[in-house]
Parts: sequence; structure tokens; C-alpha cells
Amino acid sequence: MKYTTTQTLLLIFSSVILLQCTKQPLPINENELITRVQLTFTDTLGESSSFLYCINDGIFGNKKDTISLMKNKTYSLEISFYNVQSASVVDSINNEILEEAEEHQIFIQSITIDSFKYMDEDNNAYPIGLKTLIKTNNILSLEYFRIILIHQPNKKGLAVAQNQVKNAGGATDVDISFLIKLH
Amino acid sequence: MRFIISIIFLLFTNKLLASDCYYTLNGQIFNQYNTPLEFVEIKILENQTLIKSDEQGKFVIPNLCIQTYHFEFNHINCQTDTIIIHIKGDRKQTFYLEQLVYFLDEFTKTDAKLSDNLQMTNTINKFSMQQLSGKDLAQAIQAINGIRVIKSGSNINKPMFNGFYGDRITLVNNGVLFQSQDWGTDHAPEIAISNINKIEILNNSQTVEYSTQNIGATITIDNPLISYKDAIKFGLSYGLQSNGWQNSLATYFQKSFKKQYAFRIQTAFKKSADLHTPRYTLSNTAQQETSLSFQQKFNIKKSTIQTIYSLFSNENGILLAAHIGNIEDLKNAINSDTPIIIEPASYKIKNPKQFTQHHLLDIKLVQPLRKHHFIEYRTNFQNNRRQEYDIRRGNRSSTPALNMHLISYYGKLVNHSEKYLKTNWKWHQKSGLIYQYKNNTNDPNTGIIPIIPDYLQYNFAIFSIQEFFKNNISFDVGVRYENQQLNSYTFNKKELIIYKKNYNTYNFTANFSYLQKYFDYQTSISLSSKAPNISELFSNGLHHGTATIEYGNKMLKIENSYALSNAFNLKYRKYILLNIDYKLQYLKNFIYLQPNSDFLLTIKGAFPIFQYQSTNAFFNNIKIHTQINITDYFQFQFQSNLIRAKNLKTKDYIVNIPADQLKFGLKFYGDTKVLKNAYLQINGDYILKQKRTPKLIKDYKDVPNAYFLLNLQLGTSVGKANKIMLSFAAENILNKNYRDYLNRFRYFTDEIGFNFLFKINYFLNH
Repeated sequence: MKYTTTQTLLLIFSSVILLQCTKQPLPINENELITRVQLTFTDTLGESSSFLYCINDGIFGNKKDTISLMKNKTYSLEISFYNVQSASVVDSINNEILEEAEEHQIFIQSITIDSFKYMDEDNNAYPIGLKTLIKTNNILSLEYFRIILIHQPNKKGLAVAQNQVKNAGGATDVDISFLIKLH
Repeated sequence: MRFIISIIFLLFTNKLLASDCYYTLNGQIFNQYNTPLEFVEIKILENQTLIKSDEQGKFVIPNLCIQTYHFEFNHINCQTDTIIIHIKGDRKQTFYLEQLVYFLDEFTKTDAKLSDNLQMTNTINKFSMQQLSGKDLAQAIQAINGIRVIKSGSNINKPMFNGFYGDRITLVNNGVLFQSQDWGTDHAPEIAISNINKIEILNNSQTVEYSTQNIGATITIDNPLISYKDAIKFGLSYGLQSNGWQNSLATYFQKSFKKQYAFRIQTAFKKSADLHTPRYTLSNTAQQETSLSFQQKFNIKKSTIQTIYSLFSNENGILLAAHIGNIEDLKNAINSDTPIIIEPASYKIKNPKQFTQHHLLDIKLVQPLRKHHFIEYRTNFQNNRRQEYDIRRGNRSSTPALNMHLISYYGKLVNHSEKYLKTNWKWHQKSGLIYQYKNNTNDPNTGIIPIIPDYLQYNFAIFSIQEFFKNNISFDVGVRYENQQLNSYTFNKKELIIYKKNYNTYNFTANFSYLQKYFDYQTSISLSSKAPNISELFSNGLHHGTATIEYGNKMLKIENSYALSNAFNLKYRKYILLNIDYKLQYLKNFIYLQPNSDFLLTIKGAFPIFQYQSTNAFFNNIKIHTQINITDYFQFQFQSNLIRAKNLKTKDYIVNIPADQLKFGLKFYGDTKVLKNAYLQINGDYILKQKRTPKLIKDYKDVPNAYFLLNLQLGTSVGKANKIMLSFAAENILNKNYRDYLNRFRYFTDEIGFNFLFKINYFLNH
């Protein structure tokens, strides 16, 4: 009796070796990344120029353009965000931002800006920032031009609608600094 | 409030004057086969007095007062049982304890077992668990001296011992080694505490049965064992907490059939809204928890089979103020005195949130072979799911950002035996083989690279425990060897890379204890080792809440711990107890998270990088527990826990070590005509400022100041046979604003303010 019981138990015990011994996980497709930010400045005559900032971009890899603009001039600025995994997989993030316009706001900071105005708004009449109007000043040294995209900002916060990021709270989705040179 | 307290005092003092303590209880104890049980330890919980039964199972307790007593019956081979007796005069009674182990009765180690007084500071019993309303596991075991809690916000708590947490703490749930994603600081153990009989920190060589990495502590959590003794047992309880307006409900039902079959079913539910600090609501700290278990036991000839199925499911909001995108957000949040967004309190759990679910199926078979010898086979299957939801762009918020599924299988074969040696020493041995399999899978549909990779882990272990007892001396030794194979499936871009790691770990523990009338002594040495875990080796990703990037380190070696501990007990009858427990611990290759000087530049901004490194470390831990019973109705308690930890390579302090703690308590207890087993307890907790923080790691915010919290507890049983038990408590009575060093979200918000708790229990055949 004693030995048969022990043997049975050992048999049950050893049977567990027959478990899964290998795995074949699938790579994860990162669909929420932003890899490219494109700025398009258009002057009053309709002349436009574009600048790129890329990190781990499927086409450009890492790339940082230096913005070149004229001093004391007014530009309309359009910002585009992309997730570029490869030449064939290019997702525009602007559509997602527009769909949830109430939950997004872009802030622009640079000492080369003389005046700034949001040119778009969400359903509650608060700014989004994909389209803005900018007047440059006459600071000619090499400076920074910072773009911040905040998810779920407190748009009602003090001066948040006037491009004041400090009181916006929320979570930062994009925070990059281009170099800028005025001529 | 003062008025109520003075009334209660009056009730007690009246009672004090009127009490006549000259009644005697004559008892006899049998097992379920009507064999008398000798060496049963009977502890009177009211005054911690110990009495032992003689060869015929008889005992006498003199000098009893007219009041309700809780007697805890402890026998090495039996299920511990607490029995409530209302003393009105001299009394004679027969008691039954269910014998669980197939040893003969003369084989007990009770007389040489370390006295209950020494153990007392390491356990929480059923009685205290029943007073707790809506707490989680970590909060409940905080009552054990030395246990501290590391938190993420105020609603996610993880137990800590001697500054260690995660996989350095081994959790044993009803004899089952608990398997979960324990590596995360924000991963609370998925164990329900609605119906717990006993929680204990093992402090002898029994720990080698469970793991080799007993570097922190091995904590056993046991539900009441089901017995064939009672026909029907039933319990129902309701709890309320004012902070977060938490409601909790728990019930159990037990039935047995003719000493052949017994089952117990239990279920519990709790739901709470956002918690609040004295000044503001902690938005999105609501939570909800459901648990269920079914336990059964039956005999086939001489074998006993026991099965447990349990389910735990929990949903937890993550403090909204801790939701940040990058280090700039973190600075903004830290500089803001109150959270930037405070929403009205609600029961709704929004993103970011965690959802966890844990299933356990355990089967245990006990087969007696001959006298003093039996084997136990145990197998269990655990299924742990963890989903973490974030605030995401597009329609992705309903897709978890992290979705992990851990399956584990465990098999254990144990051989127990006991014997009298020629020299009259009693010898008990327990040896076994263990096989364990773990399979972790990440859901690829999250759209986010997971923080730990998929892996397969196989463990094989062999252990042996030898215990020797004679009179008031006991000596035990435990050894364990474990082999672990870890295959990790990581990705470099889209390319799969498999890493195969193999580790050999061991554990050696020896323990000696000596008991005397006024003095007890215990010393133990423990050499243990821990293989680096999956997170320490391969973690890769952003740590929310602290805006840091965490990288694993594939080069890590096995961590070795060498510990020496000494415990002393000074006691004078039932009046004074002084317990001092001192532990020295040296760790070789201690694995910790070290900031790197680099930053990772992402489109979200720059993130500081932390990487797992190893060093040598030295830990010192002293625990003091004093209890003075001034009268039979009045007790003073003092408790303290001091930990010092040094990184020997960098000559710096170690991060996240609990600050010094001092606890004071005054307790009044006794019975009146209406109230049985009533008590009133006032506790003061003083946590000092942690000044020993790493100098080489810059913290984002200054370490919080010292704080003092005043708490009050009040409870009683009412009605015939104490069927109804009521308890009230008030925590943080002074509504203090404070922050705690061990809260990972201390950068963002204060701790919770005043909290009123209420609990009512109803028992049938308690």
C-alpha cells in the first residue's frame, strides 16, 4: 500500500513537466507614438516654408531643422503631428487631436515672438493651437522655439487660453524645442 | 466625544470595584476521535495568561472574574481555535479540537515551543481581524511590529518589512505560495482579508518550505480551516468608513456532514469613493473589490483531501494628480500646493486605473503511512491578470496600456515524520520536492511596449527541515536548494531576442530558543539568496508618477543575504512583558534602482534614466515591544521599530527605508452587564522624519516632516453568546495634514485626513 501510494504521487508530480515549453510572442505595434512634428509658416504673401523635428521617425530617424524666418513679420503657423513607422505607415495625429479638441491644447514659447494669437477653437470656444498667428520681433541671435502639446489641460485655468502653459496641468504629449534664427 | 469616553470609563470602573475573581473553570480537551489531548496551550486573550492541559487533556483555570473570556486553544497537531465563554460561576466543560496531523498526541512541541509571548508580536489573530473595517492586506498587517507599508497614493498599499518589499517578502496564502506581479511598487497583493483566522511572520526554519529568498519576511495568511466539528457556522459583517464612504459586506457559511465532508463558502465586497485629505479630495482614488472562495474537505479511508478555489478581483483608481507626462509636469505638480485639478468626490473609477484578477485552485492530499509518518501532496494553479489603463489619445483609453497575464502551476510533495530520540529529545522532520512553472504573457494589442517581457520560468526545489525539542529548549535547521530557469522573450525593434538564464539559489536557516520563567531567548542565523527577477533584469519603460525611465540590467547576479537575529523576552508574571528583537543583515549583490546621469530624449521631453544595479549593503533592524498590565482592566503598550540601511559601495543611505516609528497605546477592557468583552483603546503613532536618505540621489522634493497621529478604537460584543460584535474607530482624529516618506505619490498630495470606521459582525456558532 505504502509504495503504490508513493508511486502514484510521484507519477502525478512528474506529469507536470508536460507544460508549455516555448513561446512565440508578437512584436507590438506602437500606434500612439508621435515621431514627427512639422511646422509650416506662411507669410502674408502666401509664401510658405516647413521645418521638421523627428525622433525615431520611420523615414528621417532623428532630425532637427533650424527655423529660419524674417524679423518683424507676421506668419500664420500650422502644426502637424505624425506617427511615421515606415514610408508606408504614416499616421496623422492631427485628426485625433481635432476629434478630441476639448482635451488638447498646444502652447508655443519663444522670445523671438512679438505677438501671438490662437486661430482655431474647440466646441467650447477655447483654443486648440494647430493654427496660430505669430509676429516675429527683431532678436537676431540663435534662440529656441518650443512646442508643447498638452493632453487634458485645464483650459479654464488662469491665462491658459492666452498660451500660458504653467497653469494648464494635464499630461504632456509633446515637448520639443526647435532652434530659430531670424534674419 | 469626551462625554462618551467618560461614560465608558465609568462603566469600566464600576465594574472594577464590583468584580469578584474567584471562579474556576475545569476543562477537558479531546480530539474528534474522543482521545484526550495533552499539552494543549490555552491562552486567555484578555490577559495573555497561558495554561497547559495534562495527560488526560484536563486543565484548571482559577481566579476567573464574572466576565466574557476568549480562550485560544493551541495544539501542534490541531487547528487553533478560539472559544468564548461567559463566566458566571464555577464551570465544568468539555472541549473538542480537531486534530489535523496524524502524529500521536504525545508528540507535541508545545512545551518547548517558543512561548506565545515571543510569538505574539509576530501575529495577528482572528479577534483583531474581525474589528477591522474595509482594510487591505498591507494595512491590516501593519499591526505587526516591523511591518510597514509602501504606498502609491492612499489606496494602493504593499507590505514592507525591514525596508524590503516585493519579491523579498514571501506571501503564503493558506499554505499556497502566492504568485503575482509582485515586482511593481504599485502592485498590491491580490489577497482578500475578509475572513482571516491568523496572519503570522514566520521566524524559524519553516520558511525554507516556501522560498530561498526569505530576505525580508515570510508572511503566512490563513483562513479558518474547516472542521467536521460544527454542523453549521455562519457569519455576516458590514463595515463603513467615512473617508471615501466605503461600504463593505462579507459573509461566510460552513457546513459539515458526519465527520466525512465539510465545506465553507465565503464572499466579500467593498466599494469606496474618492478619499480626501483634510484640505481637498484625492481625485480618482475610488476602488472596488470582490472576493469569493470555496473550500471543501473530505476523507477517503485514512486520506484527507482538501480543495480551495478563490477569486479576487479589484479595480483601483490611480490618483489623478500623479498623472503626468514628463518631468516638467512633475515639477509643476510638485510646486503646486494643491492638485491643479480637483474633481468632486465620486464612486466612479476613471483612467488612469488598475484592474486585477486572481484565481487560485489548490488541491491538497494528506496520506498517513504509519504511526508518526505521513506524506502530503499539494498542487495548485494560479491565474493572475493585471490591466493598467491610462489616459490615452484617440479612442485608446478603453484599451489597457499594460495587460499582463501570469499563469503559474505549483506541485509539492512533502514527507513529515516525528520520533522520540533515545536521549528523550523529540525530533520532527519535514522534507520535500517542489516544482513550479510560470508563464507570463503580454497582450500585444496594447499598442505600448510592455515594461516587462513575456517569459517562461521553471523552478525546481528540494528542502528539509529538522526540529528538535526537549523541555524548554528547541533547535531547528532548514535547508533548501532551488534551480531556476528563466527564458525571456524580448524585442529589439521588431526582432525577437530570447535570453535564457539559469540560477541556483539556496537557503540555510538555523534557530535556537530557550525558555525560562522570567526570560526567553531566541537566536537565529539565516543565509538566503534571491535570483534577480524579471523586472530587475529586463524592465524597459516609463514609470508613471515619477516620470522616470526604468531599465533592467541583464548582468545582475544572485543576491545573497546573511542575517543574524536575536530576540529577548523579559517577563514578570502577567504584569510586564518586554520584547526586544534585533537583526543584523549583510547583503551581497543587493539589487536596487540607481539613477543614471543620462537622460532619454523623447518627443515628450527629456526623462531621467534609472537602472538596476547591485551593491553590498548592510541593514540593522531593532524592534521593541513593551506591554504593562497595570490592572486586569488596564494595559499600556509601547512599540518601536528602527531601521538603518547603508549602501556599502557608495557609502550612502538606501532609498525608501521606513522612518523611525514609535507607537503608544492605552487599553481599557473588561465586561459590564450589557457589554461583553468591551475595550477602549487609544493609540498614538509617531513617525519621525527620515533623515537618512541617499545623498547621491537627488529627490524631487524634500523628505516629509515627522508627524503624530492619534487613533481611537472601541468595541464590544452584545447579546447572548456574543452573537453580535460591534467596533468603532477613529483614525487621524486631529485631522492632521501630513505626508509620508513611503508614499510614492507624496510629491503630489497629502495623506488622508480624519476617518471614522464602524463594523458590525453577526456570528452563528462562532
